[in-house]
Amino acid sequence: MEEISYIVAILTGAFYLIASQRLLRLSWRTGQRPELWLGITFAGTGQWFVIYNLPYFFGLVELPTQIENWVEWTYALGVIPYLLFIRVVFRPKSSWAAALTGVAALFLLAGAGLAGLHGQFLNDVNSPAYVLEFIGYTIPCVWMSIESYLSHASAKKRVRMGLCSPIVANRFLLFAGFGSCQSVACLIDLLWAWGRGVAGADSAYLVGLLAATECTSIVFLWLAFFPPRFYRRWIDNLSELDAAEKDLS
Amino acid sequence: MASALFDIAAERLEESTDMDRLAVRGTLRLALKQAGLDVDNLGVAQLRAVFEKLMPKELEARGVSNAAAICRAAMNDVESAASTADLAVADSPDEIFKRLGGS
Repeated sequence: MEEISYIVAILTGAFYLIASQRLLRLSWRTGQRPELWLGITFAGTGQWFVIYNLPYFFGLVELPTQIENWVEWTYALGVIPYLLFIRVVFRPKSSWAAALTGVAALFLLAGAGLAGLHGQFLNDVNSPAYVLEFIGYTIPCVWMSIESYLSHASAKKRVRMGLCSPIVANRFLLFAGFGSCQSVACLIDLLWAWGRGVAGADSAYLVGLLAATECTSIVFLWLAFFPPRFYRRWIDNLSELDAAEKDLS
Repeated sequence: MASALFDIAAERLEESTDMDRLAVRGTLRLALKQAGLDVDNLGVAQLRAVFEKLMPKELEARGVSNAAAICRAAMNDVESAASTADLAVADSPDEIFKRLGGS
């Protein structure tokens, strides 16, 4: 089970790095910030998955604490651009969204700062640094999920008006799915940390569940960033059927 | 806060119908909501689609006669009255998500 979870984690990390490279190149070309924010976040997440899991997969010695801390720090702070992405895309003029972004960023900075003072990142519910960081990275996951579901609902109406393409409307749904999977992953992570801190044991089931949510997340992102031709055709056909049904009713 | 384009469109409709300010703005908001559009970030193409496809029916339902012609004239006025700044819209979620997937 452990070997499989390492392979899944490394492949997940590789996908994040590929998507990140594409987003950063896009940002370089367009000069726009949303792709830059998401590209930085994916780079942080990707390096975490790869660097953290590669030595374990090859059965090498554990990562030196300094490298582990560096990877954890960049992962935690890489969530801040994700918050900026959600805010800029969905609520650019909203003051509550600005406040939520600030609060979540503070949680992440405080968590990473405390872990830095402590000299180590602990995946344990008894560690205040873990709890702060957990809140900091759960907020954007849940937020992304809610905003994308809402955007998908309104995009479906725009599709009927001819103001939005079906594949873009579907991309909102895919991001909603991604956000939901990440929210579930946060919950599993909490259960895992609780298991370690309270019961003092790792759970193989939780490792398996976490790998499953990551795999599903990657499927959503793959369809969103690299939609294959058959998928595009399927979405277009669904949209045409929907329009035909509306015309008949 | 509503976009400048929304304000101009509501003013033109108010001038061309017997409806008061509140009724016009409410009707326009309802039509935009039906179309899945955001009042704060409204583009001219989006407004034109609403004026062609939804507003005539909404106005007729509120007792306005010759609603299609009124909407056409109001939209023409909006396009000529709106400055370049009014017509410029911020990067919409649709545009951003279109770029992310390369289409």
